[in-house]
Amino acid sequence: MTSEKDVKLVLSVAVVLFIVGVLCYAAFPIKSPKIPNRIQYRSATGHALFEHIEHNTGYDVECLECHHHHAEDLEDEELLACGACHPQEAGKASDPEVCNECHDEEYYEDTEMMGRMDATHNQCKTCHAGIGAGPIECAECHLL
Amino acid sequence: MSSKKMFIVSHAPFWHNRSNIPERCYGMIWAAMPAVALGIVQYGLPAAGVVFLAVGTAILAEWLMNRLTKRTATITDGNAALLGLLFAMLIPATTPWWVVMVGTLLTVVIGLHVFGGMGANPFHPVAVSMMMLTVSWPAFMDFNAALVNYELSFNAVFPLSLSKNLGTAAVAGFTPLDLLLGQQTGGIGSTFGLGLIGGGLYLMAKRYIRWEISLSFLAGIYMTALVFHMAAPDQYAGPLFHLLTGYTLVGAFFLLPDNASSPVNPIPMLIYGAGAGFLAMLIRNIGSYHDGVLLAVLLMNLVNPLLDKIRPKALGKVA
Repeated sequence: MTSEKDVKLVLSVAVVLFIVGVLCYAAFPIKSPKIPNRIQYRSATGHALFEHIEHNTGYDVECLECHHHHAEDLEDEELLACGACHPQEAGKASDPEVCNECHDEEYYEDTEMMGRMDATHNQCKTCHAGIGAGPIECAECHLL
Repeated sequence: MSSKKMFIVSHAPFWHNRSNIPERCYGMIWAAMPAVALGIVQYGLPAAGVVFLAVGTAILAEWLMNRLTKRTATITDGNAALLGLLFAMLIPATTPWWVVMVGTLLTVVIGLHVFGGMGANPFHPVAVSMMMLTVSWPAFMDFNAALVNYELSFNAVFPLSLSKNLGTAAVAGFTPLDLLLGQQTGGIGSTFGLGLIGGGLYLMAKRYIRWEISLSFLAGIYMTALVFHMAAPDQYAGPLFHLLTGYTLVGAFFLLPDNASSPVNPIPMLIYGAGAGFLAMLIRNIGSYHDGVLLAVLLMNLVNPLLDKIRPKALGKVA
């Protein structure tokens, strides 16, 4: 038979575990690193997991090859994420609204800002096709 | 004639192994410790936070349910702590606190107490809660999404997601030794193959779980994966890969052999285990989920009462 003393003891242990758990959450939150390790693009056609750091350090792809800012003197921490310019939904107003707000018109046509889906597909597939490595077909990236 | 009750006979499941419920529950908690410890080493203090919060919430929820239903406090038997721990073992280390608490409450309240408490649950409470969370918040249960911020020394894509989408070649880098040593993404306590196998052997040796269920489940996984692999080697990964990935080992040693939701006779146990292995592999290879173990556990829990109809005939005849 369970004694009242045992119940109180287990209850105390439970309260301590609960508090320690809450403290762990408060003191050691999961922080996103300044430079993402991996980025998952969620999509109804399957989520694409992009190995961000692996492209930079493993495949020696320079930051500015993908983060196509027009100035070369940008420090790594100033690089913008794709979604900062390319809106998640194509056609949705973005800041900047056209490419030439940042890019020189001799390099880029003054078109409306490309949606994130088109931008990432364009960027990934063009690069992979150019070097003859990396996924190009839909199902090679989009994992259902 | 005296109206005093001399004998009270309850229905199955029961068998005698000279142990009691607290001993079994705490034995299972100890058996799970190596796998949980590796998860905490791998994912750090956030993983410890998930485990502590889940176990603490589970015990408190059990106590509250005891009070609410005006029953004797059962928190000392270790079952609530065990359920909290098992739940924490299956989820990613980055699971938000409120998902951990909701999941633990679902485990204890919906999975267990709604059916009358320990011994009366027709489904494994943790499998019930995990499937509810998977359907409700799939992004939190997606290991590829949950662990993006971790810098890991191994391929950080969930192995079953790779094998399902890209076939055998994509998982060639996962050697059996890597998988045994926990070099794969997954739940906090579901990736360390050696630890889980060690825990399982301890549980079977102590007879806390029945070997018929665990081993027939592993055999079911192995044989079904082997048939798929032989039919299309490029498309379906081999049996050893499936034995050491996902929830296979946690399912075999900690979920399927749950006393209340598994059969009591040896032949039904073998059918139950093998059937779960077969279903888990069908779901993995041709279903829509990456891992089919939890659904297979629930489906076999569902047919458990039917399986228990297979039993030795009583001697004698009806007059």
